[in-house]
Amino acid sequence: MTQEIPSIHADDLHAEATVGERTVGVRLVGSADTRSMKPLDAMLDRVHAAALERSAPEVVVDLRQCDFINSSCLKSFVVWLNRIQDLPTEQQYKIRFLSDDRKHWQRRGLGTLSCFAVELVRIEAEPRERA
Amino acid sequence: MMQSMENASFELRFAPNVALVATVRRFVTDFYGKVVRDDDVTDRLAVAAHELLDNAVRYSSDSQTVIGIHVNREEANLEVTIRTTNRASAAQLDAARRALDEVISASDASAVYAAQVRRAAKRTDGSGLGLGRVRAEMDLSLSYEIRDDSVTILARGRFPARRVEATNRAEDG
Repeated sequence: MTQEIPSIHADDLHAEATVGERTVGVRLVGSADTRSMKPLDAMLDRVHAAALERSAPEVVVDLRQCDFINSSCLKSFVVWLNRIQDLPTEQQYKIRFLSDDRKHWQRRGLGTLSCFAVELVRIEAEPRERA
Repeated sequence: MMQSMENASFELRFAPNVALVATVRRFVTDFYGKVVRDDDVTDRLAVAAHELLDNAVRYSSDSQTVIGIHVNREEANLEVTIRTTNRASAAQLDAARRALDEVISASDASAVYAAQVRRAAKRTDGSGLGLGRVRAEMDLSLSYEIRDDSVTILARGRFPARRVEATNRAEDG
């Protein structure tokens, strides 16, 4: 069984994962840069394992309160997507990003991820959650 | 530091580390958000500044980096320039030259960035995406100059200033 996935409280980034019976989600708040790359990699590893264990059809990644992701952390998502691509088709799951369209970098960065794995990435632009 | 409705510039000399890079990005967002009042352009500047400074941290031999950002309003456009300069060892200069040449020489910025993303999926050392991101995602042209033991990277772009004009008119009225 997957253990609880530890949250990240690394410098400017707060991230938490939620795991249900057949659902897995990740929420990033703040900024993900070089300092948070290793904990983010570790979290996405665990999220990947949890998604496989539950045969989750998708993982929801909520970026609406995420202010920035640098290229090192963008790579973390590329690596994750690549691991899904390497799975047999029947084990592959989708990643649905919730984004805030007012954050222009999200539109551009998620576009890059979508081009890399168009068959796996879904992007939903939603209004930012109110505090 | 200089600012007006027509242009806004600043230059900073410091020893960047990953924490300070984030601080500069936040400053750029705040400063240009207030001065040019164009979220899209401000976002491009902030992301590009962060990626170029990340690069400087990686390729600097003495931890001294200069970053200058200039935004000029030319009729209906905003012309933006970001310049970073840092000293580097011969090996670092070689690595920087290779990385820059790959991105600059490509006729199709999106294609070379897509190739870098595919490569990044298997890389274990760094992402190799920063410069490609500046050119392809932020739509900024790149050039560079290596003189003696220092490298200067210049990122430039021109973007419509429609929203600036609208905001300024509203305030003037």
